[in-house]
Amino acid sequence: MGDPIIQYRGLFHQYTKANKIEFVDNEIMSGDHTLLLGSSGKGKTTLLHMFAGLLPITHGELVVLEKKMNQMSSHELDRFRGNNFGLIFQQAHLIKSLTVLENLQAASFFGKSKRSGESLKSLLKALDVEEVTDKKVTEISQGQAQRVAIARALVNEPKIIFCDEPTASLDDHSCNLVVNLLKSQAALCEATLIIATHDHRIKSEFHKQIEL
Amino acid sequence: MNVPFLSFKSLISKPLTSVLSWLLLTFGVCIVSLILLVSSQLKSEINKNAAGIDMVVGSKGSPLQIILSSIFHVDFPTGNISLKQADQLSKNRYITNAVPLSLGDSYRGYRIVGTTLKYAELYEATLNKGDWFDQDLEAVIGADVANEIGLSLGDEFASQHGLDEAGDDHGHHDFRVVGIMQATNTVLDRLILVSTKSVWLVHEHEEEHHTSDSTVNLARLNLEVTKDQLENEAITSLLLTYKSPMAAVMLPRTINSMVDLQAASPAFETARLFNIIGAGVQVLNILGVVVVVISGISIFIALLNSLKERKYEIAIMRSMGASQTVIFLHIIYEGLFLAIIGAVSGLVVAHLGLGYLGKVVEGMRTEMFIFLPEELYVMLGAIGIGLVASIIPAVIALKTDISTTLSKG
Repeated sequence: MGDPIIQYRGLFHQYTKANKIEFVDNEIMSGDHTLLLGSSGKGKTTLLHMFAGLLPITHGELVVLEKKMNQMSSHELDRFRGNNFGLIFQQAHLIKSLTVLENLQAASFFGKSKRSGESLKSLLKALDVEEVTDKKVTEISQGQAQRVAIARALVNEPKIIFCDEPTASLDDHSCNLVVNLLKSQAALCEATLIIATHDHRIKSEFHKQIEL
Repeated sequence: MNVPFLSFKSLISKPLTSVLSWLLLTFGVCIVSLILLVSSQLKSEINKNAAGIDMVVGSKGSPLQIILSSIFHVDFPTGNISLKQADQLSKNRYITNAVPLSLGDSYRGYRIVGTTLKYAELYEATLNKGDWFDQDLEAVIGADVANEIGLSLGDEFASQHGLDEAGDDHGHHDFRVVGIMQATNTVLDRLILVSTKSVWLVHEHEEEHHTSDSTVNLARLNLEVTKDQLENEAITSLLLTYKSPMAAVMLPRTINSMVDLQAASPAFETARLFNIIGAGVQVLNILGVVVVVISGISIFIALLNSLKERKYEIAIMRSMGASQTVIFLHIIYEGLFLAIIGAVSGLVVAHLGLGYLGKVVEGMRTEMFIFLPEELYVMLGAIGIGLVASIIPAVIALKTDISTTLSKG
């Protein structure tokens, strides 16, 4: 295990006056794949969004990759996110007007990683979806879309991959496949997985778990 | 990969809405620029054709008709005036130049004008081939006549009575082409010029008897005629050039008091014509602007609607590192692209339409490839409207709350 990549103290989020979610201080080490567990409403997604810089930190302190998240400007945060994070959601949510390859190119463009078409194609090959490279995203199956979404999260060679219920809509077989894929790809680019889920099927796969 | 590419892809992924906005804008820009082009070309056309002609005198009738028939060669002449009266008038001290016109005949739709060489001088016409007419039944043809019906030097043709192709041939006398003029970009290009006497000759009736009369020289008209002709022949109209501005005051009164004559001022009559069509032009112009504005609204609505569907996509883009600026530009470019291609295609259609009008409308000569500075303003206006229409959707898009949107996914 390496250095801490995420540390937080006194972190809470106030949705409304009556609705406040508090998080117990914790830290996550580099390479230490982590599950954020808890039933709905406990704040899995909230915490994940805070880690990923999608939700502003209003109370408490959060340090991600040695950066204080509440001290970065919106623009710095955009760059930081693009450079260091990959995000995967329950739904693939690819950009509909683009082809599969163009979706990856867009990700590379937004994250300013300037990856070549060839290297993006090999990424698709690694995820076993090379046959849909030039297809429109509306023409591919949901399973394929999920793989493309994983590929998209990997485009900028992130240090942390955040996943929000990545397996919730998958059957057991696909669920297994996706978890293995996530692990192997994370290993390849030396990224740490942080997965918010309430899917019991994957609990046994990761020993580091933060219960909310 | 860049932002304009993303915007372009997004546009073509919803072809129906994009095409609707595009068509509306094309249509609106086309109307506005076509009106600009037609009225500007019509005005310059009128000015070119009426240059050097201060007044036209014809027989009693509508002054507008006299102008249309004698200067622009579109309407029918009002009637004839006697040579004798024309000669008297030409000696008026307010006049420097008088060109007689004899109209009414044509060849395959091109009007034959019996006149003097002074008429060609009015338009500073020069010869491309051959010589000017000198003898009876010699004809000098305009550049368009030569090109379009393929008449060349030495060809002979019989004139037809009347101004359309259905007229009877004047069978006994054939004209011979002796000269072809350079294009002048005036009405002259579509005319066949012959001498005044040639026109009299083809209309001469068999029973008319010729006596070798002594000739008189009508100096101001540049005509040498027999006494018999001076007494009996007629012309259609007379194009006059004033000696001094005083003429504009004095001459019309003098002429209009004569029983058979009618004076018509090209400047006044064309201004009157523009007044008549001006109201219609105004309405069309407003219509064009309204269509452009509607197309702006359609761009606005299309973008706003698409935001509902694309909210998640935008949030994902942000999560991948796209800044608010990138998102803003992404939406702006969409509106801008539509506006630019709409404005450009509107302009292209307007110019094509202008070329088509020039072909089908009698007496209208249009230049398809002349661009006016005002057209630039029309384009900028249309593009501006596209820009304004996309600003609100773009601001909404950049303010997308990433976290809320993604957690609802």
